[in-house]
Amino acid sequence: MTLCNEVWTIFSSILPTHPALSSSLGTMSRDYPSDILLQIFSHLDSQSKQRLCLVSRYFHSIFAPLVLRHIRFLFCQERASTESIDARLKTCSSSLSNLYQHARTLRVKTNSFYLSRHVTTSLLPALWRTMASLASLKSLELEWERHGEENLEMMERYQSHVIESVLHATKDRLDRLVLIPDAASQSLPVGLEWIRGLKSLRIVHDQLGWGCSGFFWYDSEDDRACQCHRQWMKNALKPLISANPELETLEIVQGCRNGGPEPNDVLPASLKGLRNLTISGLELPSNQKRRASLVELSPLRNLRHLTVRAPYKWLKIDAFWGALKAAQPPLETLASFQVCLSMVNYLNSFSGLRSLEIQRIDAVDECHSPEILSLFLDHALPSHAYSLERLEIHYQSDVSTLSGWDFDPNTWAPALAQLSKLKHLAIYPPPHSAHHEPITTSQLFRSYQALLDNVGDMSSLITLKINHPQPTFECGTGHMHWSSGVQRALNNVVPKLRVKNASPRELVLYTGVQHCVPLGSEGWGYNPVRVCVPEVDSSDEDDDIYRA
Amino acid sequence: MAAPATQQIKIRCNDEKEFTVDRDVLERSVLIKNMLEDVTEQQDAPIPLPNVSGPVMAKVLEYCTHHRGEPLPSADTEQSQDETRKRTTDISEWDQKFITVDQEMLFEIILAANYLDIKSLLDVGCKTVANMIKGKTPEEIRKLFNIVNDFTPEEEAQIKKENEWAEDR
Repeated sequence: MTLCNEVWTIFSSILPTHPALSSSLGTMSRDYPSDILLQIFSHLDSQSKQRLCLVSRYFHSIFAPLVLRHIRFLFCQERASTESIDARLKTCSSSLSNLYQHARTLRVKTNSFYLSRHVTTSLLPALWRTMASLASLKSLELEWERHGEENLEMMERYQSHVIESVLHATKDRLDRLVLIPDAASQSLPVGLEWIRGLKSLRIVHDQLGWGCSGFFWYDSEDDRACQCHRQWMKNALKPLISANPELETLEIVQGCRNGGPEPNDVLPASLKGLRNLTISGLELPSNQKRRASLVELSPLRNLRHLTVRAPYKWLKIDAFWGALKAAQPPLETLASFQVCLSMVNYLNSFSGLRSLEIQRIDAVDECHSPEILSLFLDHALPSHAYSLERLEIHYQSDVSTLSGWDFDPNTWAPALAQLSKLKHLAIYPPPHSAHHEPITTSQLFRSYQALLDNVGDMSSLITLKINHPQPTFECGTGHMHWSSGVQRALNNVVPKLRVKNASPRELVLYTGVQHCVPLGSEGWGYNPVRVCVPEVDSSDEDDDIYRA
Repeated sequence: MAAPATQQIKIRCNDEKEFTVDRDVLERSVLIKNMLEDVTEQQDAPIPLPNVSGPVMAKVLEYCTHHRGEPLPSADTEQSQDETRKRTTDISEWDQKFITVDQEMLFEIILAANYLDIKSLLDVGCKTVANMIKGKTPEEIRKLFNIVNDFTPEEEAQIKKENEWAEDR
């Protein structure tokens, strides 16, 4: 046998094989690869998929998991309407005599039911029957809002009836529950005590509201409101979590700025199966004297993925990081809202982290200490050199200088060079690359290219995300035009950039700028420029659209 | 000046049928493309394709020849197009004519496209089958694809009951 034949033989021996082909889908139904069947039927609507469940047992085993599993009930307010609640309910209910009809129509577009205008009390039995018949349902999301309603008492009563019906009809069947109560809600939803066997729970109880003039706080200065808020979390959430000890995923987002709930207000003593924990806005204990349950982390010994956020203020939570260091859960992913000495010390105390995201470098002195940066780069990162696949550094938009946390290749390249498995890197360019003053497109190109030329050899890198800083924006100052000028300039620059020392076919470069709209108008967007690193003709013209 | 000659590659199917094909046509298959890239020296022996028969390979090559020169979808465009692809079952006119074959050949082409990793051909095949299924009852689907109903009446009734809420009324 020749060498050539041997090579091809080796190839063919390691290639995947499939069973001998038969003449139709039917005779092949048990042998035909299920991944191909799923590809075929990914082109079908959900109704066709449901019919396929009825074709045969094999098809049922494949398609049953694909039929509707999640329903979202959203009590939404139609702000534009000037009708009274009663009149609107009456109008809607007269045109919707059959909830099935309503459900069918909505299901095609979305899995959400918008209830506050569509279901009257007389339709509650139908709602209960519908929910009870959904044997496939595994996930439920309830979001209710009353702010701005004319008749709060009536609305609260009505919402409570609907929630009770839905929870009762789905009890013991749900794997996942999402609760997003009204920000000012102080009464407990009836029916939570029926919920057992949850694997995933998400609760968002936020005092941050959205109004016509942007975000605002409900009762931001009112301590009593915060106490009620804390009480709500304590009374509603803790029993629910305690009754579901098999939880694997837990996300708690709360938005009380002063004296909000602490971890031991909501977390029971033990959650042995918990693998994913996200806590945002909880009053994390700042010293060892206030030992909350989260500081005694041994019950969370199986934790793999942890996200900690404190969106409303800088918290010094050395005790929390110290507890993590002592408990040593086998973390694979850590997303933290802060960087501080105790956090870096914790990172330095173990190895095996696969993803690290520092979500916000604040304008706090401790964050910018050269010692912390040095410890991070020289010790903490190298501790995870053989496992870290994702590293993302973000900072608070009002921080004008990053004191080393911006990506200066001279400082960062030696540490990054040790991360042999790094696939995804998100960085901020140093100020001399990300000009805050108007410059020409070619100047922008040269500064970014110089940055990339010095990134160093990261042969495993797949994604490099450069976050072009968002300019400080104020309505009516002309920054809006400046921002869109940046976007246009980046659109021109990014396709021309090149990255050496990385596999160009696989490398994707992102550069994004947050594109703001004036307060009061709807929405905001993020417009990344996302391109494969191209083979380019570098003869770029010095166009001045950026200046324009 | 004459254009440089395209490299010719030999392949051998599981029925010993051999084809000699331009490299750029064969490289529509990501599987073969990767094999060719991994072997730097010129190979004279045909590439064995033990999972594809001669007649099916002939159809696959017809498709690849027609689409030669078109850009291959990268991993990222694939991801971004995924949702769009799933939402639409439109097939171009040429592809529709190409895929108008008997059911046996259709399913063999799909398997071959999957094995050879030719994403666009796999898509055409999958969409064609999806179009055949759309709007049909379970019984009609069974007839179309010669599938035996192996549910007990009780099981069938139970599943019908579970799905009842979503049916047209």
